Amino acid sequence: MKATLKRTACVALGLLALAAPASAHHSASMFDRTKPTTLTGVVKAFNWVNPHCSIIFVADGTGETWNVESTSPGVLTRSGWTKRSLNPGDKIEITLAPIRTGGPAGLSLEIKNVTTGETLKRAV
Amino acid sequence: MAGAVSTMGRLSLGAIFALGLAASAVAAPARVGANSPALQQQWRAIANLPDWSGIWDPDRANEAKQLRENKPPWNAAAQKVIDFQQKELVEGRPTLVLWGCFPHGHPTWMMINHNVMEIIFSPGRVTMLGEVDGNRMRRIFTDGRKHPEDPDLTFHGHSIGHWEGDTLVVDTVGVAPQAPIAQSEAIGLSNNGDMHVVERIRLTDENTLEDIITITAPKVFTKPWTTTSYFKRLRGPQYDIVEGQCVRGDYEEGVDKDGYATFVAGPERVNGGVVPIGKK
Repeated sequence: MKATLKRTACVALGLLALAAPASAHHSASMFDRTKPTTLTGVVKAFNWVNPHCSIIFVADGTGETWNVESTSPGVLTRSGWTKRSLNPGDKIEITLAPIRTGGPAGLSLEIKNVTTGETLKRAV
Repeated sequence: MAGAVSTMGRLSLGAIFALGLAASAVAAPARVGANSPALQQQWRAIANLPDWSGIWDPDRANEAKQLRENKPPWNAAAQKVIDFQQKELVEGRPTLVLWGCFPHGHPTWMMINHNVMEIIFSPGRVTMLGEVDGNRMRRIFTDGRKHPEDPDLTFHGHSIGHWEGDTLVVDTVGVAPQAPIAQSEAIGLSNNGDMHVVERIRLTDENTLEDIITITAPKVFTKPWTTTSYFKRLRGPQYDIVEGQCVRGDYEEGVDKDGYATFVAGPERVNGGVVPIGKK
């Protein structure tokens, strides 16, 4: 009985850890700004949400799905972006700081929406 | 009474109308909610305060400069943790100083914020309305009150202020020990209690607001420490504050079992960011 309780507690704690929300304002040092990388691709989703917007796109050539972080909707709004600045299906050219652990993720530095001709970067 | 009726009978309708108007002008009941003369005087006095209107954008280059050049007097134990955080930062594993969507708290909100705020003057109060973390705000009481003797401990503490010329001097106590003193999102520690913060806030030019912040934190500092934050003024509706909601990024749009719009848990993220854990 005791062992079962212990096991149940462990499982419960494990689930809690998995479910624990992680969002917060964080440093961007997990991204390597010394290696800016420019890629082209097609937007899959543009998440216009606090505290960090994100751009999901499929890279040309490799076909990999990239998950790229940006800053908050407030900061981007003051830089001239809107929730419509990127739309699923738009072709983009994106310069990003890749995540240090490797893989298709990074921090957005500048995006050219080839479909609309708009260049998007943080302006304030 | 009969005489009055008889007198009324001799008056023309027009005269009665005119009398009625005059009576309503003289004997109108007091307007409900009208400002008292004393309060009207306080509102007029606000016109003589400096112009802090507009949107104030934190000077992030200065935040980086403070981090580089103005080291807090951490005590030996605290310095060890800070040194570890610095090492982790360089190696690309930043410590999550702000976590769980708890507020930045005071004075970190004034020191490492990346989002704007506006400042509202009203009788007896200066109110800072922010964008970050659920549109956090600070209430600074300027009505001459003292701090409570045993304040509830909160992330922003209890702030009282007074004007010295065009400088607002703010004194804050009652900050929760868990509120961080942070120089970046990855470098900082809980103040651990008994913190006292004094700020001197003024315009240094038409569009620059300066906040000189002196922090006494006996549990983590060896002596008081002073740092300075700057805010640049933005004017125009394109810069307005928007809703800031820290926890939103943990969720994705969805519907509940009855078909109503809701948010559903999203994937766990790397260090509070948008990058899902374990996805390479």
